[in-house]
Amino acid sequence: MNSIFKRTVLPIILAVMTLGFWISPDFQEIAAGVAIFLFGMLMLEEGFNRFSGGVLENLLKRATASTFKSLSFGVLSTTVMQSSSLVSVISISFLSAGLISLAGGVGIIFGANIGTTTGAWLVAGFGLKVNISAYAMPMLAISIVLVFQKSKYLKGAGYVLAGLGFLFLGIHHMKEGFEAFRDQFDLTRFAMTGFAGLIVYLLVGAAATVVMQSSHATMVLVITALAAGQISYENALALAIGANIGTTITAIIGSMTANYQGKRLALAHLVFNVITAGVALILISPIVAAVDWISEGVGIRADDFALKLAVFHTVFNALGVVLMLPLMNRLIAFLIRTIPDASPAISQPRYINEAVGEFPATIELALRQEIAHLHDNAIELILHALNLNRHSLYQAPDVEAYVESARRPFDIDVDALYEQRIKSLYSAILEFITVSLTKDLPESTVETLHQLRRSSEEMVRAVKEVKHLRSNTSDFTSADRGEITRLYNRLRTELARMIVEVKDVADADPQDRSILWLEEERVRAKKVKSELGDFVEALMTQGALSGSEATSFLNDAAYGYRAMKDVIDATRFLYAEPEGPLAEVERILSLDEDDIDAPDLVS
Amino acid sequence: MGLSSIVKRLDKYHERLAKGKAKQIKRRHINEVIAKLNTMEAKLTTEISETVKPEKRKRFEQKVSAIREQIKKAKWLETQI
Repeated sequence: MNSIFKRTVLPIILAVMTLGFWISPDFQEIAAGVAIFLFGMLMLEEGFNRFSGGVLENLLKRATASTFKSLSFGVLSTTVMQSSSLVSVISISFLSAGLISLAGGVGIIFGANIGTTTGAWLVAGFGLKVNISAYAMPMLAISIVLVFQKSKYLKGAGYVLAGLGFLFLGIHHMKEGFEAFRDQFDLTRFAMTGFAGLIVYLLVGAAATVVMQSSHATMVLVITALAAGQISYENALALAIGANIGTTITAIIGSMTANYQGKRLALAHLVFNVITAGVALILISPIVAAVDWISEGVGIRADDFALKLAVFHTVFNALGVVLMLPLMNRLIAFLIRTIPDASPAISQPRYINEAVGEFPATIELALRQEIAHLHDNAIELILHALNLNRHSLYQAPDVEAYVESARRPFDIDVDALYEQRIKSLYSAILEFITVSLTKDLPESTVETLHQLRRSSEEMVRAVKEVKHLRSNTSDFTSADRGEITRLYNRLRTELARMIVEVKDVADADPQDRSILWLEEERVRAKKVKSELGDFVEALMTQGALSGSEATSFLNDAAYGYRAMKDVIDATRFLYAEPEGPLAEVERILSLDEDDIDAPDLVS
Repeated sequence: MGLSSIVKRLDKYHERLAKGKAKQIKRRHINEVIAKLNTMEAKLTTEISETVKPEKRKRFEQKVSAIREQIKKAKWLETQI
């Protein structure tokens, strides 16, 4: 879609703009006003993003506990950030990462549609009535001082202030531009009445919003044009309705890199806005009458069409919410039916995608889930390489007895499965971590990403270790060949038991879980390696084991020990407490590698 | 109890804390970790009572012993914070 835009639409836009600049200098001021306004919105987004890494994520998690809370959050956040697109992007990211529910995300979108109307009030009620550039100048001057500060929050505040300043400056230039433009060119010549006018201007409003990627910018343009008498009130209403539809395109484009949940939310946005627009078109006359009545009630002059447009914008969006709220459960059911849950991909990432890469909280959560997915694939492959069935193992009351009974070699190509189910997923995880580390993340998140990278490295290494011992394991355990069979079964049993322990850690409630549960396993793995070495020596002395058999087994036991150590470490890195005091306690109480060589932990 | 290596790690923690690179550990944090170790101890004790096979029983007893050792170390750490 991007390439189509670049090849066709973009050149047309640039050509129209260039022609416009040549025909009218005042058009330049309007276009520059729009550009400055949009730049202001980018600054606002940059500013609010600096506050992520705690505040925003915690707020969002708590704010979606009920429909009323999500709705209120949507209204408030869009009013503060002056961008329904930003709120949509945040909601899609958080939903994709599983941090909020679909119902919570839909509630936020509903609220955002009301919150976005405050932009029209800001412009019509304040921007047009005062010399807004007088406020913009000091804001911009102060903001640049803040932007150069080291503190993330001061920098963020600077960007937000700059964003607001540019917003005001953009409004000023659009206002000035339309005032001057009026003298040369009368756009009201293009005014259309009736239903045809409604549809044409609705489409123009939608198109303008898609091009500018901002319904706020479209509304500001409409209000300033209306205040300058360049468009009729009737056509301005249609443009406002069109802007509501155009803004859903932004959400749809944003959802293209999201998972099925993100796509559902974008569809919810589209359905809501299209239904709201449809209702507004059908009931336009009663809504206009209601706007007149409300305007009279609050003291808005009958000829103040800019403010009345702001009232209209709020009324028809609020009407949409009132109509859709009782239908929310049906909407969610429709979304789930239309975009079903994706079948869990074994070889491809399930959780990490571009949408979750926007915020530290979503990056961490999605990565943990994806690495758990990698672990799951790896454990299955390790067990299959040892000719053990995972489900049978987990249900076996006696692991040793199960392992001894599992003689039949599995007919699998371990190398091919490694390529398909481990390497491809590991590559995607590494790529995601690498891209995430290029972003401006809090230090704690960076440390976590490094730790999670180690977790995936260790697990992949474990699979490679086990690949080495598969051939001999299959040969010596498919039939009873004496002591060598017992040795290889012992090795398989130790690996299987360790995997069961690791599963217990993975399945435990995060509130109860501690990686310290695995300390004894770390010591045990070393002890088992040493015991097996001693045992092999004793068997050779007795003549029960040939030199060749002993060599094979000792090599494989070394691989097996390294695989055990790698699986344990991978699990510890994945399930360690997030950076903080609890992680410090775990770190102090955990054994170092030297401690494991001389343990006082296991008698 | 073999505290020399814990003391070394505790010293490193204090160094990082002094440089502002570590979060302050409080009593409740250590109690939280002890609670998690107690959860595992309780689970293992139940397993021991339900296990018949001698080798399996021995393994669980070793694990319980290890967990109890860790709880002792955590309680010692509490006195140091």
